[in-house]
Amino acid sequence: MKVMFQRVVFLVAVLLGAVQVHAQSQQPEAKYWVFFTDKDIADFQPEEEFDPKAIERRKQIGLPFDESDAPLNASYINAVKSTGASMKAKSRWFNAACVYANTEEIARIRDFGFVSDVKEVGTTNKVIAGEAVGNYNPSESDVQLAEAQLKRMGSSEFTQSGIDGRGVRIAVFDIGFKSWKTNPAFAHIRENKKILKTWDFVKDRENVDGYNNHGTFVLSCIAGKIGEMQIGLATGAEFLLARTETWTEFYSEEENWVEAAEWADREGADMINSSLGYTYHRYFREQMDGEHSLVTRAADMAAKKGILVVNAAGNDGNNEWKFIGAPADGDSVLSIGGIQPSLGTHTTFSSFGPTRDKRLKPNVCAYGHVTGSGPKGVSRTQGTSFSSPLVAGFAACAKQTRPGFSNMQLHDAIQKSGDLYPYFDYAHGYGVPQASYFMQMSSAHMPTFKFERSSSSVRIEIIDSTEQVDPTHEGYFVKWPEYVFYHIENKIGYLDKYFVVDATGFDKYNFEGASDEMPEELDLSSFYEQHGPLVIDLDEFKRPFTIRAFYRGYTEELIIK
Amino acid sequence: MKNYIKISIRLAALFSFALLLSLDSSAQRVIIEQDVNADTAVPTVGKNRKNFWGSFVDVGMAIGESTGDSAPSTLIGRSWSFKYGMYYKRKISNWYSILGQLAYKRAAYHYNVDELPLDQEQLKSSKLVMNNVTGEFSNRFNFGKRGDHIGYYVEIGASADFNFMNKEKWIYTNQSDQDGAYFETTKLTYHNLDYIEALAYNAHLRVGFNKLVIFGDYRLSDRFKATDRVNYQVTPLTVGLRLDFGA
Repeated sequence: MKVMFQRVVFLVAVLLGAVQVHAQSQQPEAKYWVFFTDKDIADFQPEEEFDPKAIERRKQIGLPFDESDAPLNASYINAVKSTGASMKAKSRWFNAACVYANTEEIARIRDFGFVSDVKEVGTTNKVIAGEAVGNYNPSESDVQLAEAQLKRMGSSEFTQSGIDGRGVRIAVFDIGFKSWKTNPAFAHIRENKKILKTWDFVKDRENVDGYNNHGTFVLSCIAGKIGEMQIGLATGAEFLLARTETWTEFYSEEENWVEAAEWADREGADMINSSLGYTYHRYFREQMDGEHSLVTRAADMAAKKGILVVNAAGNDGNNEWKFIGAPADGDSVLSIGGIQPSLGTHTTFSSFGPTRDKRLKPNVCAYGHVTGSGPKGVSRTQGTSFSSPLVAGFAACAKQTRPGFSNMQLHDAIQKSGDLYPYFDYAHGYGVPQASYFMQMSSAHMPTFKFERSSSSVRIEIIDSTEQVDPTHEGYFVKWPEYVFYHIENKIGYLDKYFVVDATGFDKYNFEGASDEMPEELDLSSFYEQHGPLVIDLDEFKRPFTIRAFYRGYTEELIIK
Repeated sequence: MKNYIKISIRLAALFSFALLLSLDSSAQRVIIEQDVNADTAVPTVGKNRKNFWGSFVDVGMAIGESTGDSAPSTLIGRSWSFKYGMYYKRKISNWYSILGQLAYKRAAYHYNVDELPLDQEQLKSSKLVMNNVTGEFSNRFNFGKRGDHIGYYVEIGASADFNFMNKEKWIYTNQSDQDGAYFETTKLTYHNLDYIEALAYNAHLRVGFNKLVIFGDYRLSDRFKATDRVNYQVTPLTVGLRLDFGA
C-alpha cells in the first residue's frame, strides 16, 4: 500500500511538474486589464502629443480632444507597478493598463480606490490568411489575376483620373512586414518616403521588418506595384506600419491592437487596415455582438475618433465557427468578405455574417484569392486578409475623391458603391465596391427580371433580352456573375434566408432524331415555374416580409403583406 | 411488335425526362443557400458548451517495477498500451466538467526473460497481450478564460478495464546441430489465460493542452490472480500521450 501511495504521489508530481514547466514557458502570472476611475487632464496638451494631421482630422469631423485622448494618470501607473505587477500595455481610450500580475498582486491592485474594474485577459492570436503558394516569378496568370482583382472594383475609373490615394494616411496592423525595405513592390512608396513611421508593439521597438510575410502581402494589396503590374490601388498613400501580432507569445494581440489604434490616432491615420481576427480561442459566436471584445470596442472607438477601420471578415466560413470574428463585428468597422475570382461569388472560407444582433456583416467584399508580393517575390495567396487591403486601397482612393467626407460618410459611401447595392446578403454584404460610384459614373440599369406572383408563390422570371446585357467574363475577371441573388427580409429588417442561384439553366431540350412518338423539344419551363430554385413559397415565411432580388446590376423588391 | 417499339420509345422519352429532372443541378441550381435563423441559433454542442462528444487515440508506456515473488520486470520501451475511444463531456461551469468515456485498450507487456524461471538460454522473448474494453468517469478542471475551445486542463478520474482475449507469446530458439550453425525458432501462443483478472480498476491523471494530452494511468487493483505459476503483478503505472481528435 505504501509503495502504491508513493507511486501515485510520484505520478501526480510528474504530471503537475509538466503543467508547471509549460506554465513557466508561457507566463508565470495571469494577465489583466486594470481600468482606472479617472485621469489627470490638467496638463494635457494635444498639440504636443498628436500629429498635425490627426488634429486636422479631428477638426474636420468636429470632434474635440477629450479625456479619452489624454495619457493615463502617472501616479496610478506607478502605484500599480509598486505591487510588483509588470506593465504590458496602456490604453488612453479605455483609461486602462494591461499588466502581468500574480494573485496577490492583482488583489492589491483591486483594492486601490482609483481602480474601477479588473478583467482577466486570455486569448490566442489568429491571422486571417493562408500561406503564399506558387512560384515567385509573376506568371501570365498571376498578372491576369492582379489585373482582375483591381478591375473588379472598377479600378480604371480611378487610375485613368490619376487617383491613387494621395494624401491619405493608412495604418496597417499585422504580424510583420518582412522585406518592406527591399521589396520592389514598395519601391515607389520608399522613394517617396511614404512609410512615415513603424512600431513593433510586441517588442516595443521601431523595426517591423521581419517575423512574417503576411503583412508584406497585405501591404502589397493596398499599394503594391511591380513594373506595369499594379497589385493595390493606393500607390500614392502614406503608411504607418504596426506589428501587433506574434506567434511566440500568445494572449497579447488585443492589447497590442488597442495600443496600435491609439498610436495610429495620434499619428494622424485616416484609416486602419487590420487583416486580423479573433474567434473561438476566446469567444463564443454569440459574443460577436460588437460589444463583447475589447478589440472590437477599440475599433469602434477608432471610428469614433474619425478613423475608417477596414477589417477582414475572417476565414471561418467553412468551419464550425462560420461567422465573422472580432473586431469585424464592430458596428462602425467596414468588414470585408472574400469572393472567388472565377465564379464572382462568395469563396467558401470567407466568414459569414450577420453579427449576433443581426447587423449586416460583411459590409462589402473583394477578391479573396489574389496576387501579392512577399519577401520572395510575386505569388498568389488567399484569405480575407487580402480582400481587406484591396478595399483599404480602394477606400484611400475614394477618400481622395471625397476629401471632405468623414470616416463614417466614407464607410456609407463605400457600401453604396457596392455592385449589389441596394441588395445585400450576409455572404457578400453590398457586393464589390465600384470606383464608378465615386467618379459619378454610375448608370441606371434596365430591368433584367420581374416578379411573377401567384396566390401561393412568387417566381423570379429572367427577362429574355437580359442575355445581351454586358455578359463580361474574361479569365479571372467576372463583372456580373450569371447568378440571381435574392433574399427574404423579415419585418424587423433582418434576413431570414438568402440565395444565390445559377439561372443559366436550359428551359428546353432537343431530342436528336426524334420519332413521331417523341417530342422534338421538351419544354421544362413549366417545371421550373413551379418547382425551380427561383420560386419562393410564400407560406414558408412569416408575413409581412420583403423579397429582394438582384440580377446583373438590377435590384427590385416585392413586399408580401 | 409495333406496339412493343411504341412502348419502348415512350419509356425512353419518359426516362429521358426523368433524367433531365434529376440533372436539375446542371440547370437552375442553388449556388448559395443560407438559413440565417437556423445558423444563428446558439448551439448547445461544442468544445466549451453544455455538451461535447469527441474521440481520441492514446499511446502509453508501462514504466516501473513488477511486484511479487520472483516477478519478472517488464521491459521499458517495449511494453506499450494503445487506446482508442470516444468520450462525452458535460460542462458544469467554465472551469469544471464531467466526462464519461468508452474505449478499446490493447496492452502488451514484454518480460525480461532473464528474470523468468525458465531455460533462459532458449527463451528469447516473452510477451503478454491483453485486450480490454474500458469505461471511465473523469473530472476536468480547466484553467483560464477561453471561448468555444478545449483549452488547458487537468483531469482526474477512475476507470474499469473489462478484460477479454488475452494471450502469451513465447519465442524459443534451439540449436539444431552440433556446430551451432543452425537454429530453430519456436513460437508458442497461449490463449485463455486463467490467471488474468476479468476486471481491473485504474486511477488516472491527465494534463491537456487542447489536442495534446499527457496522461498517467495507475492500476489500483490486481491484474493477475495468484496461481502456482504466476504470483506477481505487472507494473501498474503507464504514462503516455493522447491525441484528442475532438479538440
